[in-house]
Amino acid sequence: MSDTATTTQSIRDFALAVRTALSDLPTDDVDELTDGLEADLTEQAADVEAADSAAPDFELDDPVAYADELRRAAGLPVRGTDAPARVPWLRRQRTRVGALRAGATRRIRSSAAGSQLLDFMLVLRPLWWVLRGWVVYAVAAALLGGAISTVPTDPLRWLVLTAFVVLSVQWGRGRWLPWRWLPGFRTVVSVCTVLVLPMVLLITANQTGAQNSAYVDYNPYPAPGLMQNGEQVTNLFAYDADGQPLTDVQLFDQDGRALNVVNDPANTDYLPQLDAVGEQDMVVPSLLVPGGSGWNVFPLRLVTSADIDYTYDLLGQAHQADAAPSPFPFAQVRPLVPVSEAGEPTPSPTPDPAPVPTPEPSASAAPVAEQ
Amino acid sequence: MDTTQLLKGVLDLAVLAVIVDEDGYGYDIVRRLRAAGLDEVGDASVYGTLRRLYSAGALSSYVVPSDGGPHRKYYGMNPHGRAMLAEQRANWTHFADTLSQLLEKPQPSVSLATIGDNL
Repeated sequence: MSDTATTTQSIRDFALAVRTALSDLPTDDVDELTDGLEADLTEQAADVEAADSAAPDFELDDPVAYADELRRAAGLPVRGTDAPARVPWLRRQRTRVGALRAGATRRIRSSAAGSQLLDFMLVLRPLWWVLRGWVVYAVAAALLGGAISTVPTDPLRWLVLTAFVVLSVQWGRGRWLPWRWLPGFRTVVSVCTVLVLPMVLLITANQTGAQNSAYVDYNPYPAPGLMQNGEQVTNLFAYDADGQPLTDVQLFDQDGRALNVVNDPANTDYLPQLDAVGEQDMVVPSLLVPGGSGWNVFPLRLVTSADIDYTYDLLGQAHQADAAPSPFPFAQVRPLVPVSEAGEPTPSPTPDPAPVPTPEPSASAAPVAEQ
Repeated sequence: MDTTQLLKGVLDLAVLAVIVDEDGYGYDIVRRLRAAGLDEVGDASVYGTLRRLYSAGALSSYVVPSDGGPHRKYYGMNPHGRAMLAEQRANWTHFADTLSQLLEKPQPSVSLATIGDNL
């Protein structure tokens, strides 16, 4: 009884070991080969016991040899002697592609020009290997590194790129392919590389272009806040209908935003402005708006170059205490004329739009601006 | 002569021959072959051969559950198998006849020198 149980167990183990030895075959093949194996072995064991003879063939000690005998008789490749018949379809395709390639090579070689071209391309193969390594690196960097950087930006990335290139070149030379599936994998990688290559090149071109233009456009000074005809406006001067200068005029744009002459009014203390002789004055915001954001109250006040403190740094410090009202460009301008009094619709008899007085600003402006 | 080597070449024929009249499962067929005198036939060889003949379309197959034990896979002949058997039988007969005739021909006597002969 216990003997039978032992036999049953050992048969089960043996059958399992045989299946394991066949495990490189497709599941269908394994099933077909071993379906009913337990039943057969059990019956055989019973036969041997009944005959009570020296069991001639019934040995459960070498499942691998048993599996090999099954394979040989079934016409399947024995493990380790041939490429596995794991994916026969794939193998067929590979054979077909190989034949196609051989045929194509023969056709190209049949003409002298084709032969020369092929030789030339063969010389370029190492270049392709390097390119393949680089593309694989770029894809890996995009997938794993987050940012798409086709050109390494730090030593670690350079190291990774080098590793990929070396691997690709070794693959190209037929080295470093320890597993049987690797040559196929290499083909897959190559095909993917060809597909991805245009995109990687495009990205690289864009990045290089962006970098170059970034260098060209690099400007340590912030972009100006207010422009007229491409030049920075550093101050504004308002005159009323009678042509008299106005002070402390608050200006806003069409969207109701303060019309500032600087980009970041809250954090800008002064704005450089060249005077007539090229000295650098500083324009400062009005103190009438709390928080230093009085950059839209015109005219802005001025710290002249003489009062700028260059003691602590080369850029100089402008102090509000030194600020004085900016001199108006004109003491006064032409008063406005109502349309009804303008008379004839013919062009104005004085086409010269220039203000009446000649500019002699500071003297006449001084009395007006007293803050 | 090692009969297992001879058997390898004709195992298909032998298996087809013992299965032609009655379906059988793996070990059943091994048993028939051994009963017919092919004592040295390996069971794994027979199972593999059955599988190959089945893949080649010469056999049909079906599974029969057995009482209490593991199920059995039966194989049976189909027309293609019969045709194959007929062809292989003809081939074998022709081959065996040829070889028999070859062996029955009087062999040219080879005179061997025996020890003590004076040459």
